[in-house]
Amino acid sequence: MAKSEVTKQNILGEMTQAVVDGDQQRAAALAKQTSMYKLSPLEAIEEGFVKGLNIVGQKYQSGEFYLPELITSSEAMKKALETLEPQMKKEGAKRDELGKVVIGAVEGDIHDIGYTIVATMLYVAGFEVIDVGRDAPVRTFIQTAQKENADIIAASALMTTTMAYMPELIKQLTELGIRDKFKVMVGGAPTSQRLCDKIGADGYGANAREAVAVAKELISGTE
Amino acid sequence: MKPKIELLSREELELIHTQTLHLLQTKGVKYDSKIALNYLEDAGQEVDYDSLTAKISPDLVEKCLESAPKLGEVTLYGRDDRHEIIFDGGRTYYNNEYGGRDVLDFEDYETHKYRDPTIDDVKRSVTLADALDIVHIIWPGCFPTDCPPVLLDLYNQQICFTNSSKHLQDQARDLRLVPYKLEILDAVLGDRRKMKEKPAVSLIFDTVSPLRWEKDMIEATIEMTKNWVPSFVHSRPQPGVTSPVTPAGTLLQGNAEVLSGIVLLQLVQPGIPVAHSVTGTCVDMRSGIAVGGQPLERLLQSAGVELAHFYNLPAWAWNTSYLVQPEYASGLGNYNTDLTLFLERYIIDAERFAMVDRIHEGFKVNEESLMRLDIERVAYDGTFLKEMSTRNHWTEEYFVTTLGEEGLYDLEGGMTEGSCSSKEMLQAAHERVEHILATHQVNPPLSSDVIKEMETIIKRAQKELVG
Repeated sequence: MAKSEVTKQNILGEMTQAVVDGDQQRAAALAKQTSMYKLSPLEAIEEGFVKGLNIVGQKYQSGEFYLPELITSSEAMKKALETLEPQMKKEGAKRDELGKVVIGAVEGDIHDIGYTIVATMLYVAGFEVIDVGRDAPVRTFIQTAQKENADIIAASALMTTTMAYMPELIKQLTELGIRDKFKVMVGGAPTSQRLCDKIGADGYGANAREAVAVAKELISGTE
Repeated sequence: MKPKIELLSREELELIHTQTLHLLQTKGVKYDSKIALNYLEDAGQEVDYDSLTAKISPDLVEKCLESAPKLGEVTLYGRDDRHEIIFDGGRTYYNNEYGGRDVLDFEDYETHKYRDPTIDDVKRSVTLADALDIVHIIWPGCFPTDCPPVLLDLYNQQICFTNSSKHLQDQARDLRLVPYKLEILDAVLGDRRKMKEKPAVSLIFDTVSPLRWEKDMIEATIEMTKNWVPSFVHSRPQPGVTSPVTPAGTLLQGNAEVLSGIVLLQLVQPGIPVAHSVTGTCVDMRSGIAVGGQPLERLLQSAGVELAHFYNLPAWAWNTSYLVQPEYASGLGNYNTDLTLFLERYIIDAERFAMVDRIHEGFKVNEESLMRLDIERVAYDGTFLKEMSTRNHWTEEYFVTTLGEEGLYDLEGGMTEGSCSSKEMLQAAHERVEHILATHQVNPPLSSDVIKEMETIIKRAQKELVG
């Protein structure tokens, strides 16, 4: 193997390791060095950083890693993407994604920790995730999903009082004649499978892990 | 002997306090409400209306802590004066659990099902809580799904007043509901101004960690505070998620949140009674959902009580603890991390909490209670069962269970689904629930005029807010 190839492999390995370690600074620094090692942004992502994320996902599944490792690793990945994605867009390259999810907390609800964990786990699992934030009106979910051509709308509520906006989301999608365009997932402490069935949503996850499994299932159903 | 465990030394409490003052002064707190920020600005604080934050000076914190009534100065009442709740540090008062998003119907051990809560379930939970002597503060047990969501708090207030004469506690979450809530107080108490002398209702004022207060709750609570409704200022962060992972860091942040709430309420109404509550909920670090029973959570609950007592304020803790004694503890009837209303659990917890009270009573150590002469008389081959001292005093020392055999109790209890102990205990609890619901009468009942007036207020609210 040529010396430059060894260096390239080493740097990709370091990128992988930076994500596994959740080392944001290292990930950002390595992302900036991509062109120095004659790597394309897509190569750096797919052959370097994403491999780290995959290892983290496997370690989480096997019980070795927990949420703190998962979240910090995905933050390191995001740091790398901050540098690489603009370059990648310039070159017209695109990552393979499982599907696109628009996620947020419904109107009146400013609790964002729970759905952020779900968003991160979806991201680690390979979804593109568009976060509409907390206290998001129903129309924001819908407009974003339309604009981004999303596959799934995932709405979270932590309060029984704000949960009332979930049927409203389904209602408005139906009234607009676009209910079939999106799969709708609901989640958050006061929600339940019963609520999901009652309001006619497509999926419910009792926790973040379940939510990812449900999203994967919904996506496979759309293919 | 009274059990007394000191978790935090005076020096450690002082350090948390000093760091809290520093945090409030340098970082400040986000109040999602210009109304709240106005109060702080008027008090000479550094306020940023763009970021909705305020930095609070140590002087103001000390001044507001000074104006809050201390332990021994706070008494709550029911709509009936018999239900006095004196926060003087001498005992713990309990409430019944709130928050059920569903109901577990128990017929027998094999037959039970989950379903949506209704107004009738709130009524059942309040009736049961009214009947249980150990419950002094009433929470509506669940969120009914058969009323307009926006009016939920009004319906719950009406049901609580109708089915209990004890002190009522809920939350002010919607400014639009406040005028109606106050009208209901007028109807029940004769005049809302009676709240100043004898507060029959109080609020939970919940922070959103880290260091934030949510607009609707702040503004509604401010209006209620103006009308002398006391608040239990509560921070319940999740270590490692919404607060630092260390208990000390969680206490620091929680204390800053609670003090920032107390400051606001004392600015709105100097002298309004408040309780101090830093608790904490642990999460399952695999799935992210809240879980009970972590040792860390118990430590936090207990240290939070010590923090409240450091300020000489009434303490409110989640779940009961034998480590320290708060003035007020929740968790009675807590099931499935308080997401499920399970009435049989009320009965089981009433006994469990009474056992904790028994531990807090401690025991006497003196010449008489040491019973040296009895030991000399009975040793070596006798039994104390033959002694009149045993016969006369055993029920003072033993806790007499009424729900089955001794030993069935799991004092720690479990807050997660499926953790209730035994088949026999559940069956006995079920029969007790059925009996109470069939026979209990609220004393004194509300007059039919008051009930009618509340109905009229709610109908008007429905017309004006729902259409």
